[in-house]
Amino acid sequence: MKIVQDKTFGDIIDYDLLQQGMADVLDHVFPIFNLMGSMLEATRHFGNNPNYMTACAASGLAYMMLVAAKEDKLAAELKGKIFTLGWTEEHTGTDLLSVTTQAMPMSDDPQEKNFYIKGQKWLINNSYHADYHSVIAKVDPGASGPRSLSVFAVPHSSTKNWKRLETHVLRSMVLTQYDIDGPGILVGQVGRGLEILQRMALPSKYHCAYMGVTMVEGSLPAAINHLATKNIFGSNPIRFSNVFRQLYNLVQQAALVNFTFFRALAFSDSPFLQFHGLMLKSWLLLKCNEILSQNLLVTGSKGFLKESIIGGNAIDSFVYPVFDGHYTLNTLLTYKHTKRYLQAREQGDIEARMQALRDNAYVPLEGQQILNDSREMRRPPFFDYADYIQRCGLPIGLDADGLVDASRQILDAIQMREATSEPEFRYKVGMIVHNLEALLSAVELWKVTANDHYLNAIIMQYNDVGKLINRIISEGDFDVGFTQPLRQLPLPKAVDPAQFLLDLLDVKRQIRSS
Amino acid sequence: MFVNDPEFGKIVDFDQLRQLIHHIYDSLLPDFDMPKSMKVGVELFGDEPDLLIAAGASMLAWMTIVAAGEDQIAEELKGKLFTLGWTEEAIGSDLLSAATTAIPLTDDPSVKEYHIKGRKWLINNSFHADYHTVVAKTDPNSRGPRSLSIFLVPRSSCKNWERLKTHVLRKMVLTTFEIDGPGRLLGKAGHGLQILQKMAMPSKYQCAYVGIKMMNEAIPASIEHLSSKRIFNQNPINFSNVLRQMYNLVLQAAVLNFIYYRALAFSAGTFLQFHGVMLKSWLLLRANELLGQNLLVAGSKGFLAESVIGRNAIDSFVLPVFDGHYTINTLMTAKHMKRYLGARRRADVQERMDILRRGTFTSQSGDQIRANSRKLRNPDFFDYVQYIEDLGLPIDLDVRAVVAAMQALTDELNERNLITDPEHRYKLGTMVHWMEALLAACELWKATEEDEYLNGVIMQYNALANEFNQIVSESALRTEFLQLMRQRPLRIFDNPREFLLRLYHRVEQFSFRQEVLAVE
Repeated sequence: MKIVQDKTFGDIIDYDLLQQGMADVLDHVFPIFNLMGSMLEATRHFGNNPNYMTACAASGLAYMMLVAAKEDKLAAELKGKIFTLGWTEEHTGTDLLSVTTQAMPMSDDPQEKNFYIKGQKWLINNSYHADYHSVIAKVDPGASGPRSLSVFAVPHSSTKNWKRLETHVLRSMVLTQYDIDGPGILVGQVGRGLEILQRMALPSKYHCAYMGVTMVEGSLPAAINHLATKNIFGSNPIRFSNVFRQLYNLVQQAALVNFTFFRALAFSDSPFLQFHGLMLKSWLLLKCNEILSQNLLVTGSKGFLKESIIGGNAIDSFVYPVFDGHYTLNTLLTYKHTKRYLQAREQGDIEARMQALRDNAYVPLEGQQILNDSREMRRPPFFDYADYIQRCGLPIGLDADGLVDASRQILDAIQMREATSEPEFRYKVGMIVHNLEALLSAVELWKVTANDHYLNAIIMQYNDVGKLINRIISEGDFDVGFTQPLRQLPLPKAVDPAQFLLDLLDVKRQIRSS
Repeated sequence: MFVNDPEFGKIVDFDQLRQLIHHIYDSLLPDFDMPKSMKVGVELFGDEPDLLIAAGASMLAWMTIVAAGEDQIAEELKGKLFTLGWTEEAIGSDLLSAATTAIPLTDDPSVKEYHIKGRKWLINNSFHADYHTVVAKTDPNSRGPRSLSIFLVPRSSCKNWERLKTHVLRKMVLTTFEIDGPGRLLGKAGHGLQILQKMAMPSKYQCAYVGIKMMNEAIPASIEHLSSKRIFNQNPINFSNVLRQMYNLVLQAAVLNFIYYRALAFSAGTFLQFHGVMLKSWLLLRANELLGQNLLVAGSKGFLAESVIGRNAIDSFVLPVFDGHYTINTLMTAKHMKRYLGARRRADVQERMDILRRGTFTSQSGDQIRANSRKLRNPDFFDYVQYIEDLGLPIDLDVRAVVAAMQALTDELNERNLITDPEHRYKLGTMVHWMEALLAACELWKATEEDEYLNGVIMQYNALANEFNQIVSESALRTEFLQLMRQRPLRIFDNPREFLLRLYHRVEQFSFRQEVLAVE
């Protein structure tokens, strides 16, 4: 992708090119909404280059706030402009209710849409180059409740004093800290800022997670191909059993990550939108970061070269679990689902879910994800976890009941200790739910592809849940029995190890051809 | 210490580096004082990994001359910058496949002057260096351990540099370049590998120190950031989830620090290679993990270019890979498994505690670059179980079960003819490293009498058990899984920042500081 030499900023992305691509991407955002379509369009234009993709996402998400606020007229008028997410201030981080940017109405008319905005925003992507900023501000600076925030569309002409903040990652993007001091247009109603954000945030978690998924999709084949062509000690490294084992483990995890993402997308136009999204924004992006880091260490020196995506993606992947909603907050939100998740007694319809995956997974479909009712999102129709896995008929002895039991016992032990409000435990329980769901996803990966090679992905994920449960028991000194790991199935002996691994990675082909 | 170069952009100021580097060389010749070399290096260049590593590369290349027994040349060239001219693009860490050739300029069997021809790849400092210590073959067709020789090649014999830009340490200048000109043989022809190995003994400590340094900057920086930032009306460090994450990082970092200085304290003896190999693989991988997690806990601030939290997380990826890949180092450790498990000597707790408390003082005159490699192959291992039992830990750590499990694992791998398979050899190597980490954590508790470090012991034990269980799982062995342990409860403290920093700094008594005190 083209990088331009800017006099002020050095090597940066070409914002004209960004704007051209954005126009097509937004055709999938307004007036129709096609979540996966918008991602594919971005890939088509920007080739999964993390700098362009992230700048595109930032602009797209900021624009999506107009759609989420049902400001159709404004959305139509401003479509094609570059936007920023003007939320964060240096002192607030993820604590948005503490923002100090102010908005004063231009008249006493209660219907007034024009406000004067004043404040300073920090670490905002695209902010020097953007035409518009979706700014969070308070009409009453003394308020700090959930109804204290409002959203404003602020034009470039109301912003000034940009100071670039250089970063260790995604260095061709331009993030700045800048002042807002001028008119802006109210988006939606006064005091409804948080609601608008939350609505926008539901599909946006999928956009963010897509970054991690595409990085893994690019980096793993690059490492496999490198290790299959390099020649040391008279052989290709991939033929050494230690290297093959490392890659095999990474490929299994990467296949699971990929499937988990597109599975979530396939079920996204439903009350599962938020539940899956939270997991993507925390569990999945942390997992992508781990996979990419290990992938770099397996690859060795070549991965460090600037031309290699292996090193670049490993480094850039650190930012995604943190920005646009910290992984901790997302995991804490999942905690709220725990009881319903572990206690659900409905029987999940395996065939209906498999059919939905066969029909919808990896297929861009129109949906209503940006206009979802948040109340429904709080109560996704969970089903009996252990029963579902048991009825999937795995040919391995996996004790899903045992995991659910251990999780419940941990919850009880936390309650006994009167520590249910402790963020440490809430966070850890949220992680259990994410890991259980990842295990369920691994089981469905095997079921829908009918590929027995993925049984080891299931066992690996089972052992991951066990490890997490055990760590929580150990750190909390809880009187709950430790979970024993499962033994994997023997490692396949592949004639062409690279091809074998590449086939295993390509989950889409297996599902779309079935 | 950086300049804006018209060709390369912002890079290390190599002229200044050249002016100062002799201070490091002076600490290594005529007396080889390894701790001092690191101390001096850090005092001069410590704040910037790009500088420290550029200086380190030059130091190691220069040390090759000392390792070759060519002290006079080393002394004469103390004002020069060097490179490690080893790697070629096709070979990576497989040095015996180097294609660079050396042809003697005369038929005299004692000839020292050669014509060197070849291409080197990804070599740090290589455009700016005055000299290159180059690995080449006098017989291009030979492949045995005696096929390599080392040559001192002046810059005038090099040409066609092409910069290789990297994702990490971007202010260093690495190039691929051609050698086509005279060079001088260092040591004897065919003794290249031996010389490299000699140099590599202390160099592992010097490389690993960079990882320790990065950690010691970045983790306290996170503690400070999380103790001063305010969100949701609190400092994040006061949230129990953040405190737990930082507590785990701090304890592990304290153990890593101790493992490093402990290795240094024993480096004058037969453990030089055994500990060094572990530092260069296990410790640097752990440091990289910790720095990654530290960045994720710190959040956005860590990503700013001015922050050491992000910088060190990113740069730390290179340390386990360059100058000896972690895999190769771990495979070397695997060779010790049998002797490690079988040792019956009863080690003296008091004697080891004395060495630890005297710390780097003991290692000062270790002459690690001239260590006898045969002795290093047989470090003076001792009875693992007996020693840990003698330490008298107040927790229920079943080391007997650990040794029995390890024995069962090796027996089963033997039985299944897997013991020489690289996957399983690598895994056995990691097991020895984890056992040694556990031993070290026990010694940390003993040497400090700080009960907080008991959780550090349990963390090493659980990590060992998890790794062990993974081996059993992945190869579907019938060897039984190891049981995990429960940590001691994390007590709630009024001032988490103080608590964490105290826990962190407590291990400093084993670092270079103690040496300063001793000198005073």
